[in-house]
Amino acid sequence: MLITMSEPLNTIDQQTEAWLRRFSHELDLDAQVQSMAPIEDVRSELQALGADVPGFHAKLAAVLRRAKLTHAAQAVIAWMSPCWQPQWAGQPVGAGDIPTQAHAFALEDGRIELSCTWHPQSEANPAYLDLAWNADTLMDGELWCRFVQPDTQVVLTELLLGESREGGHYLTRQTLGFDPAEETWTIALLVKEPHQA
Amino acid sequence: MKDNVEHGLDIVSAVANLSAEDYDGLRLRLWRQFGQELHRIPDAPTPDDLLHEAIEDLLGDRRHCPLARVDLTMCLVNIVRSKVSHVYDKWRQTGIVIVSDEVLEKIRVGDAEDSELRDSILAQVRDDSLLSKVIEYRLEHPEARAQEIAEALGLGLQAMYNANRRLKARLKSVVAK
Repeated sequence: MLITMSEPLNTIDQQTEAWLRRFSHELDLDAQVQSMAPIEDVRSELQALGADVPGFHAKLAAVLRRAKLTHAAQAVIAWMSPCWQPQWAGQPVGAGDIPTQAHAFALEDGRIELSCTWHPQSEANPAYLDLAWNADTLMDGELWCRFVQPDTQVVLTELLLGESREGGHYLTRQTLGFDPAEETWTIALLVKEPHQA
Repeated sequence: MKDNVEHGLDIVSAVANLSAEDYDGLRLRLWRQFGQELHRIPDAPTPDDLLHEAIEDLLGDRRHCPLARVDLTMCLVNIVRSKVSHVYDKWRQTGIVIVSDEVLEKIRVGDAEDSELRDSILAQVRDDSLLSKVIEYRLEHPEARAQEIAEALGLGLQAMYNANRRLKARLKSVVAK
């Protein structure tokens, strides 16, 4: 609480309270002290201050999705695979029932094997997709993956996997911008010439 | 397993890689720092609005953050601070509402040099020994920041956070009375 000049501090009690409030406010603004706050306290205080806690994140996800697509569109695509839809992708199946799905994408001079598994949101973790690839080909450029909604063909997101011929990534719902356990998706691989900044 | 889709220092990845918890912590910092100031200005954006603008500016290359040297959250705080200052200046210039500086100025609480005020402050927290030590140190070192106080008293920052929670609870009960 700020005390304005229109509220003179006449008594010692008022000065005491003002001093303590100012000190408390300074501690509130200290980033290191604030980082100690449990996230539940952070969110309830945000709400009390008038912030729309979930609304902020929904808007941010939309902004990020647009930015990623713009960013991705700036690179030249050297090769692109057809879309592959893993079995049960986005369908309601118990977490323990989804086996690892695998697919090989053929190129003119080799192949790229892709495998994935996904899990719905749990108490401890957000929904996520675990992706791994192994390229048996000369890969001159960056490997990207593009997620597409199969019915509308809308690009859900496009992510850089890297320049390694082999690797894996753990993609949370936040990174993907969609829930891999609840929304239908297909995946395509792309090789792009490295992005020129 | 770590969520490390993109290792490059590009800004899109950096913005995407901050967690929801990181963003909410940053937002609380901005609401605490600028919320009241903006609330006084008619039709002013909220700290969340300005944070969104800051993020869009970074993503759209209208602002830059040297990620190799500066923490992204620090960059965002600085951009929002600059935007708050701009909003405030613009509002002053339009003259839509004239409010004297006095109203916007935070109170200058007198330095607690006089012993009566000092004793009164300490009396308020007498029954909380850790909080008393924190406040006593601060009274003796008016420029001391939280980190310095914690180190001097051999406390962790968690203890400082908890002490402030207890102080806030006390202040709340004062208002309730």
